[in-house]
Amino acid sequence: MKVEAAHSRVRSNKEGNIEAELQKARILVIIPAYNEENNIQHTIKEIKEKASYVDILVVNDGSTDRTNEIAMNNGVKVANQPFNMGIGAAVQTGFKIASEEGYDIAIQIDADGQHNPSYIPKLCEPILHGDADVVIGSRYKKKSEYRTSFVRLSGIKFFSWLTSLIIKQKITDTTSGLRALNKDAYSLFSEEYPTDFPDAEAIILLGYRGFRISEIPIEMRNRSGGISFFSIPKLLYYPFKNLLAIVCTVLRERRRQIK
Amino acid sequence: MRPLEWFVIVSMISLAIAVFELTRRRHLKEDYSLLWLFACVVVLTVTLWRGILFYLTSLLGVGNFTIVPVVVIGAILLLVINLHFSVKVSKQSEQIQKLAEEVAILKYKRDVETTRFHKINTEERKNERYE
Repeated sequence: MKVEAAHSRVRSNKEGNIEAELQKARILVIIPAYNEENNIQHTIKEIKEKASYVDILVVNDGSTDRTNEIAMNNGVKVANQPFNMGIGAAVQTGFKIASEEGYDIAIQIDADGQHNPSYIPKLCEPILHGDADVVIGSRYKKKSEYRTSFVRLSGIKFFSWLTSLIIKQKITDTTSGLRALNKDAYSLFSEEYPTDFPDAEAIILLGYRGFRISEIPIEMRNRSGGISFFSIPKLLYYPFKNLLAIVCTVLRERRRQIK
Repeated sequence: MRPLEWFVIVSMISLAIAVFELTRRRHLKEDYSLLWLFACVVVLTVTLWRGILFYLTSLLGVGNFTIVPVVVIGAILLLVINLHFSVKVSKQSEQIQKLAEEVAILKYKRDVETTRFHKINTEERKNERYE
């Protein structure tokens, strides 16, 4: 009984600490958004409710709808890209702003509300305690309810396997859109970052540059509004492009290490 | 195999290597290099798989082959020019992205400054009123 009580006291103390640390830390949540007028308001509200201590930056990636207006009205920071450049560029703009304003942690989160903001403390904890530089919210670390098509799932599994092999660390979800990065890590990405699909390649780059990566299991909600799917041309193009990008990254980094 | 076939095979393989090397050195974006590698594979397949070539010849009704060297020379020139453009386009799309990001950041900063200015202004006015 005594031991248990002591245990719970320690735990609550720790939780109290993390809460205080979160309040103290400067955290920027980056939401890349392209034509998300239906989801963006809800996403912003949910983040404000569940993580009041963060600053929110919406990077509007050349939307043609009311995304910018809605974000502005919700009292968050908004950066507008002049035209659509893909999610990679939007996130990179976010990292650049985080870097200029000197944030301790930058968190990337999807605009469509598929990610639950209550994972934010868990994402930040390893970084605040100095145990990791990058924390990825993984859908496949634990058995998840999240469903996706077979082809897409096998792609994710294959690239995760390949990434794990290259950086010699188990990575279960390279395509996750929920990540937290400390200053050093996001500063690297504000210099070098792939444009259209910032996936496995980016994680391999982090691995080679000696950043400590860790994963936490997350549950991802199925999409509420709109449908996300891979069209046939993308399906043929994406894996090969990704593979080529990985091979080139590995060769570049190897050469860099020799130098 | 005839000399022309050897020539095509060797040049396609060296093209593929060149494209790969350009990609590695970041002179060529992956998107374009994928297109180039795809083109190499198509040309190699057509060369090695004679059946399809004969079929195409009979389909077009080209009995006379004297035009071939001209076509080959033209194709090589186009190839080099196109690869050059791919490299240029890769570089420019990267520069455009950097510029666009910069524009977004500058506009963002301007907005932040404007709101701060407004806040100071309204506060000053309030103070004046109280004084």
